[in-house]
Amino acid sequence: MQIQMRTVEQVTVVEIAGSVDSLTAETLTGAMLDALGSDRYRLVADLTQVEYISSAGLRALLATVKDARRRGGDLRLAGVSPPVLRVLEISGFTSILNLFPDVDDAVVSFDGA
Amino acid sequence: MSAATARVRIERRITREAVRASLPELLGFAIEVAREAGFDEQTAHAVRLAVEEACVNVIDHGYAGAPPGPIELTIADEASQVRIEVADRARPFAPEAIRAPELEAAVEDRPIGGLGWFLIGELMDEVRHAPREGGGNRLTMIRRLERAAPN
Repeated sequence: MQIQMRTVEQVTVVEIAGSVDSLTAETLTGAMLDALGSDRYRLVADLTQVEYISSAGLRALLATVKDARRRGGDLRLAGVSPPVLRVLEISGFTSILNLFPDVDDAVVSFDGA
Repeated sequence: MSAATARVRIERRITREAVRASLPELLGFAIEVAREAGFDEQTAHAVRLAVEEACVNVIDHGYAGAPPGPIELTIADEASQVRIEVADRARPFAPEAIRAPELEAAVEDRPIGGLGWFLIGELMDEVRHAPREGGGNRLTMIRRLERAAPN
Protein backbone atom coordinates (compact mmCIF):
# COMPACT_ATOMS: atom_id res chain seq x y z
CA MET A 1 0.00 0.00 0.00
CA GLN A 2 1.18 3.51 -0.80
CA ILE A 3 -0.13 6.73 0.67
CA GLN A 4 0.23 10.21 -0.72
CA MET A 5 -1.22 13.33 0.82
CA ARG A 6 -1.98 16.66 -0.73
CA THR A 7 -4.01 19.64 0.29
CA VAL A 8 -6.81 21.06 -1.82
CA GLU A 9 -8.17 24.27 -0.32
CA GLN A 10 -8.96 23.33 3.30
CA VAL A 11 -9.14 19.62 2.60
CA THR A 12 -6.44 16.96 2.99
CA VAL A 13 -6.69 14.38 0.24
CA VAL A 14 -5.24 11.00 1.19
CA GLU A 15 -4.52 9.06 -1.97
CA ILE A 16 -4.23 5.35 -1.22
CA ALA A 17 -3.00 2.69 -3.63
CA GLY A 18 -2.97 -1.05 -2.98
CA SER A 19 -4.64 -3.22 -0.37
CA VAL A 20 -5.94 -1.95 2.94
CA ASP A 21 -5.65 -5.08 5.06
CA SER A 22 -4.12 -6.47 8.25
CA LEU A 23 -0.65 -5.78 6.88
CA THR A 24 -1.23 -2.13 6.03
CA ALA A 25 -4.18 -0.77 8.01
CA GLU A 26 -2.10 0.36 10.96
CA THR A 27 0.12 2.50 8.74
CA LEU A 28 -2.95 4.05 7.15
CA THR A 29 -4.56 4.77 10.51
CA GLY A 30 -1.38 6.44 11.72
CA ALA A 31 -1.08 8.56 8.58
CA MET A 32 -4.70 9.69 8.66
CA LEU A 33 -4.74 10.45 12.39
CA ASP A 34 -1.47 12.41 11.94
CA ALA A 35 -3.16 14.42 9.20
CA LEU A 36 -5.87 15.26 11.72
CA GLY A 37 -3.34 16.20 14.36
CA SER A 38 -2.97 19.78 13.19
CA ASP A 39 -5.75 22.26 12.57
CA ARG A 40 -6.97 20.22 9.62
CA TYR A 41 -9.94 17.99 10.14
CA ARG A 42 -11.41 17.66 6.67
CA LEU A 43 -10.17 14.50 4.99
CA VAL A 44 -10.95 12.85 1.69
CA ALA A 45 -9.69 9.29 1.20
CA ASP A 46 -9.16 8.69 -2.51
CA LEU A 47 -9.80 4.95 -2.90
CA THR A 48 -9.68 4.86 -6.70
CA GLN A 49 -6.61 2.59 -6.60
CA VAL A 50 -7.77 0.34 -3.76
CA GLU A 51 -9.20 -3.01 -4.85
CA TYR A 52 -9.22 -4.79 -1.52
CA ILE A 53 -10.23 -3.90 2.02
CA SER A 54 -10.67 -6.19 5.01
CA SER A 55 -12.07 -5.58 8.50
CA ALA A 56 -8.67 -4.14 9.47
CA GLY A 57 -9.16 -1.47 6.81
CA LEU A 58 -12.68 -0.80 8.00
CA ARG A 59 -11.29 -0.24 11.48
CA ALA A 60 -8.86 2.34 10.07
CA LEU A 61 -11.71 4.22 8.36
CA LEU A 62 -13.92 4.08 11.45
CA ALA A 63 -11.19 5.29 13.81
CA THR A 64 -10.44 8.18 11.47
CA VAL A 65 -14.03 9.26 10.87
CA LYS A 66 -14.72 9.19 14.62
CA ASP A 67 -11.74 11.40 15.31
CA ALA A 68 -12.49 13.78 12.45
CA ARG A 69 -16.11 14.27 13.46
CA ARG A 70 -15.15 14.80 17.09
CA ARG A 71 -13.12 17.76 15.83
CA GLY A 72 -16.02 19.07 13.79
CA GLY A 73 -14.70 17.71 10.51
CA ASP A 74 -15.25 14.56 8.50
CA LEU A 75 -13.65 11.77 6.50
CA ARG A 76 -15.27 11.37 3.09
CA LEU A 77 -14.54 8.66 0.56
CA ALA A 78 -13.98 9.12 -3.16
CA GLY A 79 -13.70 6.73 -6.08
CA VAL A 80 -14.71 3.57 -4.23
CA SER A 81 -14.20 0.51 -6.45
CA PRO A 82 -16.93 -2.19 -6.70
CA PRO A 83 -15.16 -4.81 -4.51
CA VAL A 84 -14.47 -2.25 -1.79
CA LEU A 85 -18.01 -0.89 -2.04
CA ARG A 86 -19.36 -4.38 -1.49
CA VAL A 87 -17.44 -4.75 1.79
CA LEU A 88 -18.54 -1.27 2.90
CA GLU A 89 -22.16 -2.11 2.14
CA ILE A 90 -22.12 -5.47 3.92
CA SER A 91 -20.65 -3.82 7.01
CA GLY A 92 -23.15 -0.96 7.09
CA PHE A 93 -20.42 1.60 6.42
CA THR A 94 -22.25 3.19 3.51
CA SER A 95 -24.77 4.56 5.99
CA ILE A 96 -22.15 6.15 8.26
CA LEU A 97 -19.64 7.40 5.68
CA ASN A 98 -20.25 9.82 2.84
CA LEU A 99 -19.17 8.49 -0.55
CA PHE A 100 -18.51 10.54 -3.69
CA PRO A 101 -17.77 9.51 -7.26
CA ASP A 102 -14.43 11.32 -7.37
CA VAL A 103 -12.09 13.50 -5.34
CA ASP A 104 -13.36 16.79 -6.76
CA ASP A 105 -16.93 16.03 -5.70
CA ALA A 106 -15.76 15.01 -2.23
CA VAL A 107 -13.65 18.16 -1.81
CA VAL A 108 -16.44 20.45 -3.02
CA SER A 109 -18.90 18.76 -0.63
CA PHE A 110 -17.09 20.43 2.28
CA ASP A 111 -17.95 23.90 0.93
CA GLY A 112 -21.35 23.96 2.53
CA ALA A 113 -20.07 22.53 5.81
CA MET B 1 -15.44 -37.50 -16.94
CA SER B 2 -19.00 -37.90 -15.69
CA ALA B 3 -20.64 -35.25 -13.57
CA ALA B 4 -20.95 -37.73 -10.70
CA THR B 5 -17.21 -37.90 -10.14
CA ALA B 6 -16.77 -34.52 -8.53
CA ARG B 7 -13.05 -34.05 -8.48
CA VAL B 8 -10.79 -31.81 -6.54
CA ARG B 9 -9.14 -29.69 -9.17
CA ILE B 10 -6.62 -28.07 -6.88
CA GLU B 11 -5.79 -28.49 -3.21
CA ARG B 12 -3.00 -26.48 -1.66
CA ARG B 13 -1.83 -26.31 1.93
CA ILE B 14 0.53 -24.12 3.88
CA THR B 15 1.49 -24.40 7.55
CA ARG B 16 3.07 -21.53 9.43
CA GLU B 17 3.58 -20.39 12.98
CA ALA B 18 0.53 -18.41 14.12
CA VAL B 19 2.25 -15.04 14.46
CA ARG B 20 1.69 -11.71 12.74
CA ALA B 21 4.96 -12.12 10.85
CA SER B 22 3.43 -15.10 9.01
CA LEU B 23 0.56 -13.04 7.61
CA PRO B 24 2.27 -11.86 4.42
CA GLU B 25 2.93 -15.47 3.40
CA LEU B 26 -0.54 -16.70 4.38
CA LEU B 27 -2.28 -13.87 2.52
CA GLY B 28 0.04 -14.18 -0.46
CA PHE B 29 -0.75 -17.89 -0.58
CA ALA B 30 -4.49 -17.14 -0.79
CA ILE B 31 -3.91 -14.77 -3.72
CA GLU B 32 -1.66 -17.28 -5.52
CA VAL B 33 -4.06 -20.21 -5.16
CA ALA B 34 -6.99 -18.09 -6.33
CA ARG B 35 -4.98 -17.13 -9.40
CA GLU B 36 -3.91 -20.72 -10.05
CA ALA B 37 -7.51 -21.92 -9.75
CA GLY B 38 -8.71 -19.17 -12.06
CA PHE B 39 -11.47 -17.96 -9.75
CA ASP B 40 -13.54 -15.05 -10.96
CA GLU B 41 -12.77 -11.70 -9.36
CA GLN B 42 -15.56 -11.82 -6.76
CA THR B 43 -14.66 -15.34 -5.64
CA ALA B 44 -10.96 -14.51 -5.45
CA HIS B 45 -11.80 -11.47 -3.35
CA ALA B 46 -14.07 -13.45 -1.00
CA VAL B 47 -11.48 -16.21 -0.57
CA ARG B 48 -8.74 -13.71 0.23
CA LEU B 49 -10.94 -11.95 2.73
CA ALA B 50 -12.10 -15.13 4.48
CA VAL B 51 -8.49 -16.34 4.75
CA GLU B 52 -7.32 -13.04 6.19
CA GLU B 53 -10.11 -12.72 8.74
CA ALA B 54 -9.85 -16.35 9.89
CA CYS B 55 -6.05 -16.33 10.15
CA VAL B 56 -5.96 -13.00 11.99
CA ASN B 57 -8.55 -14.38 14.39
CA VAL B 58 -6.37 -17.41 15.20
CA ILE B 59 -3.21 -15.30 15.52
CA ASP B 60 -4.70 -12.49 17.61
CA HIS B 61 -7.23 -14.41 19.71
CA GLY B 62 -6.75 -18.17 19.37
CA TYR B 63 -3.28 -18.32 20.83
CA ALA B 64 -3.56 -15.11 22.89
CA GLY B 65 -1.76 -15.52 26.20
CA ALA B 66 -0.20 -18.79 25.08
CA PRO B 67 2.86 -19.63 22.98
CA PRO B 68 1.86 -19.50 19.30
CA GLY B 69 1.38 -22.87 17.64
CA PRO B 70 0.72 -23.83 14.06
CA ILE B 71 -1.86 -22.47 11.68
CA GLU B 72 -2.68 -24.79 8.80
CA LEU B 73 -4.40 -23.21 5.84
CA THR B 74 -5.91 -25.31 3.06
CA ILE B 75 -7.59 -23.97 -0.05
CA ALA B 76 -9.27 -26.46 -2.34
CA ASP B 77 -10.99 -25.83 -5.64
CA GLU B 78 -13.59 -28.60 -5.76
CA ALA B 79 -15.11 -27.63 -9.11
CA SER B 80 -18.50 -26.65 -7.74
CA GLN B 81 -17.19 -24.95 -4.60
CA VAL B 82 -14.13 -23.55 -2.91
CA ARG B 83 -13.25 -25.05 0.45
CA ILE B 84 -11.07 -23.11 2.84
CA GLU B 85 -9.88 -24.76 6.02
CA VAL B 86 -8.07 -23.08 8.85
CA ALA B 87 -6.86 -25.48 11.53
CA ASP B 88 -4.98 -24.65 14.70
CA ARG B 89 -3.97 -26.09 18.06
CA ALA B 90 -5.28 -23.11 19.97
CA ARG B 91 -7.83 -22.96 22.75
CA PRO B 92 -11.40 -23.96 21.86
CA PHE B 93 -13.15 -21.32 19.80
CA ALA B 94 -16.87 -20.72 20.25
CA PRO B 95 -18.32 -18.98 17.18
CA GLU B 96 -21.77 -18.80 18.78
CA ALA B 97 -20.35 -16.59 21.54
CA ILE B 98 -19.32 -13.86 19.09
CA ARG B 99 -21.66 -10.91 19.20
CA ALA B 100 -23.10 -9.66 15.93
CA PRO B 101 -21.92 -6.16 15.00
CA GLU B 102 -24.36 -3.28 15.37
CA LEU B 103 -24.68 -2.38 11.73
CA GLU B 104 -27.29 0.29 12.28
CA ALA B 105 -25.51 2.11 15.10
CA ALA B 106 -24.48 5.74 14.72
CA VAL B 107 -20.82 6.33 14.00
CA GLU B 108 -19.97 7.45 17.55
CA ASP B 109 -21.60 4.32 18.99
CA ARG B 110 -20.03 1.80 16.65
CA PRO B 111 -17.30 -0.17 18.33
CA ILE B 112 -14.04 -0.34 16.40
CA GLY B 113 -13.62 -3.97 15.45
CA GLY B 114 -15.74 -7.11 15.56
CA LEU B 115 -16.42 -7.19 11.83
CA GLY B 116 -14.08 -9.96 10.70
CA TRP B 117 -16.22 -12.90 11.71
CA PHE B 118 -19.32 -11.17 10.36
CA LEU B 119 -17.68 -10.66 6.93
CA ILE B 120 -16.80 -14.36 6.75
CA GLY B 121 -20.45 -15.24 7.36
CA GLU B 122 -21.63 -12.83 4.67
CA LEU B 123 -19.14 -13.85 1.99
CA MET B 124 -19.20 -17.61 2.50
CA ASP B 125 -22.13 -19.92 1.78
CA GLU B 126 -21.32 -22.25 4.62
CA VAL B 127 -19.16 -21.97 7.73
CA ARG B 128 -18.51 -24.93 10.00
CA HIS B 129 -16.45 -25.11 13.14
CA ALA B 130 -15.32 -28.28 14.87
CA PRO B 131 -12.89 -29.09 17.66
CA ARG B 132 -9.87 -31.12 16.54
CA GLU B 133 -8.81 -34.39 17.97
CA GLY B 134 -5.90 -33.69 20.28
CA GLY B 135 -6.95 -30.08 20.80
CA GLY B 136 -7.50 -27.10 18.57
CA ASN B 137 -10.06 -26.00 16.05
CA ARG B 138 -10.93 -26.64 12.44
CA LEU B 139 -12.85 -23.93 10.66
CA THR B 140 -14.27 -24.91 7.27
CA MET B 141 -15.58 -22.22 4.96
CA ILE B 142 -17.36 -23.03 1.73
CA ARG B 143 -18.16 -20.73 -1.15
CA ARG B 144 -20.13 -22.22 -3.99
CA LEU B 145 -19.00 -21.50 -7.52
CA GLU B 146 -21.19 -20.62 -10.42
CA ARG B 147 -18.69 -21.61 -13.05
CA ALA B 148 -19.79 -23.37 -16.21
CA ALA B 149 -19.76 -27.16 -15.92
CA PRO B 150 -16.66 -28.70 -17.47
CA ASN B 151 -17.20 -30.63 -20.69
